[in-house]
Amino acid sequence: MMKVAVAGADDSAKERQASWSQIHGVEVAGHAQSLQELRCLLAEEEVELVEFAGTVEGTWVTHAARSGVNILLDEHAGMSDQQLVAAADLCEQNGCVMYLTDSLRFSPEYAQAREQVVSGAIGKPGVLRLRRGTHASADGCIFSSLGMREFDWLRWTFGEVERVQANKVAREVATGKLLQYALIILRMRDGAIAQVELSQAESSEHTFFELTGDAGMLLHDSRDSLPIRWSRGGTDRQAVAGQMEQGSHAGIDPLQKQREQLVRHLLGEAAAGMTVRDWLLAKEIAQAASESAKAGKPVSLAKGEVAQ
Amino acid sequence: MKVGILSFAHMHAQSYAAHLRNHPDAELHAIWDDDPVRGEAMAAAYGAKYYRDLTAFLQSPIEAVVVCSENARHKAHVLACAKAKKHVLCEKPIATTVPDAEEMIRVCAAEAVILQVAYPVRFSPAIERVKELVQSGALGEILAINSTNHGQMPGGWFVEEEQSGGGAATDHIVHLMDLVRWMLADEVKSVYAELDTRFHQLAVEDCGMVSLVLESGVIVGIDPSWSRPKTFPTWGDVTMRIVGTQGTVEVDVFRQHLLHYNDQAGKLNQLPWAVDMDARLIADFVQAVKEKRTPSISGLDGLRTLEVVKAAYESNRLQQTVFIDRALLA
Repeated sequence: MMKVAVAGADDSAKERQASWSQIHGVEVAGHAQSLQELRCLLAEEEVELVEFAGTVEGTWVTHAARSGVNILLDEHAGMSDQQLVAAADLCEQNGCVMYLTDSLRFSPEYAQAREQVVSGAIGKPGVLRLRRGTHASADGCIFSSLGMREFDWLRWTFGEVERVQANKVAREVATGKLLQYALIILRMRDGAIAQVELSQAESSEHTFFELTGDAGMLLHDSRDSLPIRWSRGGTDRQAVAGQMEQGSHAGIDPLQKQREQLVRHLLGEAAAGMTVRDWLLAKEIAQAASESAKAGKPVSLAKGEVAQ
Repeated sequence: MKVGILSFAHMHAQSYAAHLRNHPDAELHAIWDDDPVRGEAMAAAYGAKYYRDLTAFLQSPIEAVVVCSENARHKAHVLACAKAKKHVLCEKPIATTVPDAEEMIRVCAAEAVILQVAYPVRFSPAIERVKELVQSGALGEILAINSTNHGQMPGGWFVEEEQSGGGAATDHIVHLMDLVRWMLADEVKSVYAELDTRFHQLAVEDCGMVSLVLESGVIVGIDPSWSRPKTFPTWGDVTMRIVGTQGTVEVDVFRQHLLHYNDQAGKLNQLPWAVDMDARLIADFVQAVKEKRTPSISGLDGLRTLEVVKAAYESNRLQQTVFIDRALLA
């Protein structure tokens, strides 16, 4: 049995524990709610992986990394980029790996699309259009806050990026929040041309992709993928929309899919999910987009490093 | 009003011919085509007289001409019409080079004939409504527009650069560029484009992505690709997502259609049922000629959109952002 622990004081910890307990071949070793409890747990049990729930102190992650335990972390988990990279390096030095959640790789529509592309369903990729729309936000750079998942999925599905060009606009709206919008063109190393549209000007979160190639096209719009539509007279429209979240009826939990694959990966039976290295490469695309938008010119990516 | 069609090289000519035939104040009187088989067939189909000789065609009692020849021949044909004092509706793009477009505008002005460019999408009721929304301020300050004009690869002279001037970028950027300029009353400041040939074995580009910044700072994306698969249920699309500080509006110009699951043809088809924008374009041109008024879509509109196309090619060649140097017309 593979021993897994959950760490963190986040409300979701119990739910995460329950999710792990449903996976065949996994034993939940315990739930550490403090750094001291984590130290004891890792000392007493032969834990192979710790999933951190929500925001965590960097010291918790550092301790797990030093203990040679594989780590599953919500993207960032409140840590700075530098802390994340340092922790990933520490993992590498101690023979373990840090994996990140919040990836499109386990969302069923994106996983299916990637599988189809890889199997040749669209032939040679030509033009790829992706969109992520959400509300205005107080968050920072739109390329990082909204674009990372798309950038990672594009890399995972179509390979590395050669060149990035981006335009961005931002306005403070009446609510005091910052509304940002960006259009990014990515020239993939294999020649395909991608456009990622990131918008914080939407009334509800939605995603879209159109993947065209010389032998076909794959199309997805989250707004056209709701299996249930309902309307009730006199009901607030926004309240109803909130109950119709995308994916809520697909019967697939992306995070649980990732946990299952992680177990298979640690057993040597499957590829990894998104590692910190993948995250860093997606981050480089986001940084290149930001740089391009500022400089008003395209930015070339070379061997995983940002180079103008 | 007697009207002629100068060449059926462009497939839109058949639609224009049908609408001229049906217009209560117009008569499709004459057809010129350098392909006599095609010209005779079209003349027979639309009840017009076929001319093989261009001079004779232009001496016929027509007041106006719809020019639907290959893009590279627009200049010669429009100049010939203008010198014969015929008003012109010219298929897009206005020309294959900026100097050609400038000369066409100058000569038509000097000869006091109307030069209208055929951008029928302006006449879509959905597009008209979106323009009203944008200009009313309902969306707040406009920040961005992301748009598509996709199609299937048309083949024929469209993929021969010396006749077309280029591939998908030449064919499709202009429609969206015209709508953006028309709705926002703004001009393009800079252009970045990635163009390529990835869908077909062609000597011209069949796909790409264009990113523009307007003088106002609005950013615009255009996908002009001939990327629709053979199984796509129609020829292509025209879509726009217009993003403002108070909302986003999306328009899919050809959204109003029936879906026909056709077992007999083994194909899925879109059957449009909204008003035909070509009919409204033709009616507008006929009205402009009758009233001798300024055309609703001018030669300058054609020139400005062509300048963006040329900048897109330059950007793609240089792999750099290109700043538009707008031609100054005397």
